[in-house]
Amino acid sequence: MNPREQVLRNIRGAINARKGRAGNSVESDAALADANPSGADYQLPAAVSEYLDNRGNPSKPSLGEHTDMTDRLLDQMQQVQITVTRLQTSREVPAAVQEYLQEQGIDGTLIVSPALNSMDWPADTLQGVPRAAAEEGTLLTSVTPCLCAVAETGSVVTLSGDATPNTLNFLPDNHVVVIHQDQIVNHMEDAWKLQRDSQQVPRALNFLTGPSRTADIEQTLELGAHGPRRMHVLLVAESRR
Amino acid sequence: MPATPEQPAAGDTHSASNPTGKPVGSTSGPQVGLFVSCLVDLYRPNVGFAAISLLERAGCKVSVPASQTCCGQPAYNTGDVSDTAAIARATIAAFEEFEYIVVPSGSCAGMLRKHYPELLQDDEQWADRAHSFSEKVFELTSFLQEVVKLDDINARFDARVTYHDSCSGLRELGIKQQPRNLLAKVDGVVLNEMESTDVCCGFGGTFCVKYPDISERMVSDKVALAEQTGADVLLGGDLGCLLNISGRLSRLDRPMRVYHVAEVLADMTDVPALAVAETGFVSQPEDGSEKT
Amino acid sequence: MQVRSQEFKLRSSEALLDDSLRAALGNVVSSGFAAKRASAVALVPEWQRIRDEARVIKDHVLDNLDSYLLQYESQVQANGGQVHWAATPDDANKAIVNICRSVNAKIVTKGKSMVGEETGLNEALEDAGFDPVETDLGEYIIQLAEEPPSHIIAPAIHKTKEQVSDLFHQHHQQYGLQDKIDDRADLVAEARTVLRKKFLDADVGITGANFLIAETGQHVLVTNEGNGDLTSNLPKVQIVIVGIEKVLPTLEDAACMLRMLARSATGQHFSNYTSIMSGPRREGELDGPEQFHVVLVDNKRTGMLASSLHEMLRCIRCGACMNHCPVYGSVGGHSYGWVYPGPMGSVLTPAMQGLEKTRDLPHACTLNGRCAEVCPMSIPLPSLLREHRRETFERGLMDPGMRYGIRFWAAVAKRPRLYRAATSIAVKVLATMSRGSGRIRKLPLASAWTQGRDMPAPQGDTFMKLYRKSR
Ligand code: SF4
Repeated sequence: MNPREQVLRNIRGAINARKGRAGNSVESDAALADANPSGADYQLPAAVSEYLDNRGNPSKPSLGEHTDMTDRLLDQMQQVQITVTRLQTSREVPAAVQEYLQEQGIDGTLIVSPALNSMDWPADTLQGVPRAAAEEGTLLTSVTPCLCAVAETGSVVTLSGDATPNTLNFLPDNHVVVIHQDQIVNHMEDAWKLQRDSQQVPRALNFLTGPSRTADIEQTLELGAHGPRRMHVLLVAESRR
Repeated sequence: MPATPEQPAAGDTHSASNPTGKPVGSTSGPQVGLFVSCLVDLYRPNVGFAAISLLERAGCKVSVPASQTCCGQPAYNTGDVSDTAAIARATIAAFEEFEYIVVPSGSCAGMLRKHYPELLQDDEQWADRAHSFSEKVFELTSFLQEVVKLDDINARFDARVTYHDSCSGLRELGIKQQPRNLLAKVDGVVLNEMESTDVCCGFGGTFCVKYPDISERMVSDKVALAEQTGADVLLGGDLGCLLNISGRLSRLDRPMRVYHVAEVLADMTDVPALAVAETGFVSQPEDGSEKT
Repeated sequence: MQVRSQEFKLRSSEALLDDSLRAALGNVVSSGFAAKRASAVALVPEWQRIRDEARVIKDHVLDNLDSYLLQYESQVQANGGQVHWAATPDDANKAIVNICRSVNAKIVTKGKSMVGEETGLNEALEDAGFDPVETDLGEYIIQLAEEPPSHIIAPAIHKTKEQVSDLFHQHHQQYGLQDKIDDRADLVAEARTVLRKKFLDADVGITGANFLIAETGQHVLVTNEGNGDLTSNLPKVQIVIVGIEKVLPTLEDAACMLRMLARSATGQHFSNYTSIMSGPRREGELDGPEQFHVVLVDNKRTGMLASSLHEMLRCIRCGACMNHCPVYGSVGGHSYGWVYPGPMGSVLTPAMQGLEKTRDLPHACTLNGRCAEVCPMSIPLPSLLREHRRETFERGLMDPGMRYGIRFWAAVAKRPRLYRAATSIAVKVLATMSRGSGRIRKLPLASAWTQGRDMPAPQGDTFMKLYRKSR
């Protein structure tokens, strides 16, 4: 028996044994074997899908005293050391990035997501994936768009894709994210809905909730463990399209 | 000379603590069987008499079945299920006739109330009996506070106290506010809560003798937190924890005194605190073998 | 990994004498994580409802585990990934070594994986000639120290800053980092520099997973450092090693668990990086791995599923139980002698390694229940420990002294008259021994009690006797 058959048989045997102890009817030994060894195109048994269809929606936590989700989001972000600048239109983004870099005294190179390349960036701005520059030890600040921002958790959510390489979230030293006001959603579940709207299952959906951190030395928080040391949000009032 | 504190004779206790004036043996109040617990039986009869006194003050008719022994927890927690079940059956048989079974210990009450039904759930003859028995079992302070709603506590105890929440009572039976509410009615008591009052003292029944080093660390931490409050007295509702904590305090020669909460509520603190000598005791020189 | 739980007594006694351990553990249990959790939970009025729902979800999954795993497998394949099944630790290690060989790997980066610790993956990789590098800072520290983790979410919680400084000084000189540094931020920065190169050079990246999503074939990975994402996204091969119990029906179910995970673990509202991934680089993408593999590990989980320990399979590895365990707080994680410490470890280790070698673990607990009270998955840890105790007793694995002692005591306790007589004598003896001092300093038959405590003296006679006399 290969490990796959063995594990599946063990699982079915275990479930059967418990059913039997509870006085329910059990499957025959033959039914424990696997009828679909390739694993492809599996469909859940009807009883299981039915259970899923009929169960109620899970509880979502209330979002505190905030009636305005933007306030809640900003409040949550502040708690996890995400800084925010508010803008009226996306035309203001490149200047706001420069201003942020100056304010923070950040040197190094700007790298922007291909999805944002239509904006008016300085000539020495890189575009695309950060790997090569990171290998050379270049200090990078990335600018990326996002799928949405979740007020519940204070997270920015990015979706990987042709124009949105997700290593821009992790390799650079600083990460600037552009959020449009109408991209703010209430709960995690709203992000799942947006994912389902995309054609295929994405390779990566990343919830980013503050600059990288660790408390692995003496339970004391330090920022900038492996990912970005700083995370900055440009919140644009005008809608995305 | 054995350290025999003067015991109030039970007969006196009955009349002294029976302000209702009803004759002993009255059938009007609830019929309560007192499960005294093995540690109270062995180490601290005063707690048993205090419980009787409080229950009678609340108008109960109290009986103490002679065939009770221990709730069986030591065997249960050692994995000896069949012996525990035998003890459980005997305890149920001895007590099921009462309207209520009251226990001056959260841990034994938890055993009777939560674990007996689990233990006997597959026993056709006993499952139902265990279930209806268990619903009648109460820890002393919760019974006084929630069932008979004892309001008239006539006691005085001039001390700053801190209260240790025993784990089983707290988590199996939700005993937290009940003893505090009752203590608030005792004249002279000032309650200073300690940090982490809900963390285990390290007693754990057989645990404390199987893993004495770990148990000692835990009780030392507990004692340190209790002392931080500046209290003179530590109270609790479980004699196991109290033997452990008082034993540690005594070993460290610390002045903090330890009583069972029932002793304070019943105004029966004229006896020496746990691990404390009678007044007039003159310590004798210890021989070499006792230097530990 | 080799189990050393047989040495629990010895190692816990040593740990109690270790001052730097005491300093490092600080007051994990009384304040620290416990206090942070309490304030995070207090901000979610729906906590208990979410907790109840989580339990229902996980029990449903466990009742249909085969179906959900098959659905997950099929979806991973649809996303372009491969699924490997492992009944034993050896199956898992072999599958991973084979993948590494097939791409001529040298450096293998690893995100923290407790299942990888279970299977002894690092050792297997080293034996096969690869260079596994732990990238979670805590795991990296203990890898340098050649120690197992002492906590499931804070693996190096037993190390002081000074010890970390020594380790870095010793191991980082090979990278030209000669100066010994003491500042915490500098230590973090130095690890960042060293590991950054490993991330970029790695051929294979291996992580664990917090949840698997059957509906979509995705897995959810939660970290604070971002090491999991650098491990997953940079190398050309991505491998996930995960226990079979981690599967959930949908992303909605994951949301339920995620709402509890960080709050229970560290008291954060949400972890920094929550990543939901599946499959290799899609056509047209500029980054991401070329190959994606998942290794589904049983390693005795199906045995637990069949047994009275099945509720343990709801565990989401948050660590709250150990953060609230006073025994763990006293003796630290290494005393437990294997991968999983604290209450959940004392249930899992005997189930995975057998009671013969681990019989102390279920007993080294006061059954105070603080762990079960905070467990987000409502796992009745004390009852499961009692199950192990029952089996230890029934299979005769118990220390004979203890076993006969208890049976003898029970025989007396079952006979009230005999019990009365015995207790009367015991009380008299104890009272005599205290000689009026109210306490007994040394008891020959209970030296374990009196080594650190006095025995309070009884009041002079048993309650039952005094009561009968008074009637
Ligand atoms: S047993 Fe519960 S508290 Fe402990 S790690 Fe698992 S889920 Fe968390």
